[in-house]
Amino acid sequence: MRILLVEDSPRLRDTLTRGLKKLGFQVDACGDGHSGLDFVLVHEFDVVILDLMLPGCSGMEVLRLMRARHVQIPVLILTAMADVDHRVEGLDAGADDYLVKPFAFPELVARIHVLLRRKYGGTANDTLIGNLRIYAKLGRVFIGKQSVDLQPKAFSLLDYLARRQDAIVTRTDISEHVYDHAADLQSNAIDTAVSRLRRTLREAGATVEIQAIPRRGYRLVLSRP
Amino acid sequence: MTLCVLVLYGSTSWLVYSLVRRSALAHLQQNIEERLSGFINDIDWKAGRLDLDFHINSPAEYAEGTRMAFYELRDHQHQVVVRSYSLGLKESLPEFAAKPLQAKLDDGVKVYALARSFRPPLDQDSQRPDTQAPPTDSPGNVFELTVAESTAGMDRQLRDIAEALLLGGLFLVASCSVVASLMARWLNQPVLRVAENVASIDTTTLHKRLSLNHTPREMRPIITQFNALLDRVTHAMQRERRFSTAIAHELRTPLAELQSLADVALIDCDHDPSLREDPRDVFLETTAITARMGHLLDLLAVIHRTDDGQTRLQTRKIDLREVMLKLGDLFRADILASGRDLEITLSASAILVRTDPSVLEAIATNLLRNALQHATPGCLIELAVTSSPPTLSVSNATDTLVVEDLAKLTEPLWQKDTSRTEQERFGIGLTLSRAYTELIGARLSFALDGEVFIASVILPVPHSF
Repeated sequence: MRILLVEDSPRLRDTLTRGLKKLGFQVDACGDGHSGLDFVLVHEFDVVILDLMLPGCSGMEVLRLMRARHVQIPVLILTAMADVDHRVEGLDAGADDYLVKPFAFPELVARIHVLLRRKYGGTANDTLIGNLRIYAKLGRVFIGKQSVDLQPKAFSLLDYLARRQDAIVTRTDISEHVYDHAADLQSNAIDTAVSRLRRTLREAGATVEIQAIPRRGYRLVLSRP
Repeated sequence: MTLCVLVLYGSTSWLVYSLVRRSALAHLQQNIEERLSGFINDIDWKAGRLDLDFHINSPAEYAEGTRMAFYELRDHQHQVVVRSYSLGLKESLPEFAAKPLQAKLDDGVKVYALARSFRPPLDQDSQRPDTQAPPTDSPGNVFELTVAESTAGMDRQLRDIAEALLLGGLFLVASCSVVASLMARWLNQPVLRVAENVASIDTTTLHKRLSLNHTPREMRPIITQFNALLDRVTHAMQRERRFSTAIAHELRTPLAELQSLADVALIDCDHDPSLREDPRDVFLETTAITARMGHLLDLLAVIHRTDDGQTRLQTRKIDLREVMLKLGDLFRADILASGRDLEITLSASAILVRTDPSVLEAIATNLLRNALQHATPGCLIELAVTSSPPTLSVSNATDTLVVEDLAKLTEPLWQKDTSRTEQERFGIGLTLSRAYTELIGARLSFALDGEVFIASVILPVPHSF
């Protein structure tokens, strides 16, 4: 899952980026409104965390410009402005959630998951496909009753594919949302990671499989009986 | 109002009554005098006897029992010669009243009486001399005629007038009371309306202002001043709100940093120990954040102490030019390194003031830091010292400020840029400068001349050293 964090406090920005990355999110971060707007107009994100009082262009302006240009990425406003008026203004401007500083990091993560659920459908953080269970908040995967240990990247890849069950996910999507552009599309890093994940699932007896769609990408589907 | 009308009416009534009474009295006295003269002219000697035709032909009001008019003729021995039938047999009028005299008869009838002494002449029409008549100049030929008239008629008329005036007064008082009550209600309506409008203004409706339309001219200055007071209250509340927002922002962000730091450090990353935080980094970050919060509180405490007059001054005589040169030397390198230029303009002669140099330097340092922070890149920062009054000023071009910002510059934590990217600044330097200038009896002034921002410290003129 790819997140954009627009926060002017360098210390808070660094801490949140570190924490979210630990939880398997791909995080892009910037400290001013103009850069934030450039990011959302050029790249595709699953969630934007937006501060309001930003240098150059305020968070509210960024939000309005995003919505005016039909960028429908879920936005979570993270700000020190706690007045009801500000909350209402932010939500009216098109924000999907509003969190006031100081906040508990787990609450921020929980709200991000809510926005992801809203974007990709579903009502719970846990994904259940066949005998595959993914507990996103815990970062754990179960095949039947058996726990499967996955590296953070492998977990993010599986979670991303599972959230888009039956849909074709391109290598570009995977690179952006799972690997933070770190994976070279020309290399076979993504193919290797998918192949390794597929083997892990098969060996654990999963009733789902990751199909390769030639020249298009991959999709996670229930195995044929 | 009713009392005024009552007093006015009472005075007028009394005046009218007095005039009428005086006029009636004069008329009565004139009447008596005319009668007296008429009667005297009608008395003469005839065949050695007094001719008293007036007695025989006296008008009806002198008739018996009328008790309206009276006369009495006495000889030189005060013996009654004749008296009107209207007088009883034993009654007498007051003896010789040279001036009109008020008297009361036996039965209580009030009269005005007038008497005159006279010598009756001989009968002029007789062909032969009246040898029986006493000589006209003899002492026995002196008579005294007293004529009196009852004041009953006049008194009745005056009583009628008094009653009419009293009734008129009562009616007027009643009418005035009603009219005054209605007028008071009518006149009080604008006051009541204003009172209602004032009562409807509370903390949530401070934007409302009292209208001058349909308001009496006398109340307009009050309403104008009240609206001006509301403006000042609104501005004060806005200033407080901005301060609350700013302090919340200043504290919420570092608190969020602290909490996130702790939360992220606590994330269970057993499955990948390589992601575990280095405790030393967390502690260093925590120390930096708390130090910043502590610094903010220290600055606010300094402002509070200065505003409370708890800061002690150590004043001495100084030359303002030396202060400016010292600060210029101190900041020159930083200003040039930032791509801006520095120019110091000083007067030829010394500008001496008596003040605390450390406080003055703190003020000027804040102004220079402010200029260094907000001056347009590449511009000239100018320091100047002028006399009359002793003034120290810092000017620089800026493209961030507008005139409306000038009033907010010394508000605690106010910053044009609401973001907190620059973590070393709080927006408190100019607040502190304002407090310091007040402490040393100086004045801090800001002006915007086009794009040039001028901050001046105007010191009091020293009386003596």
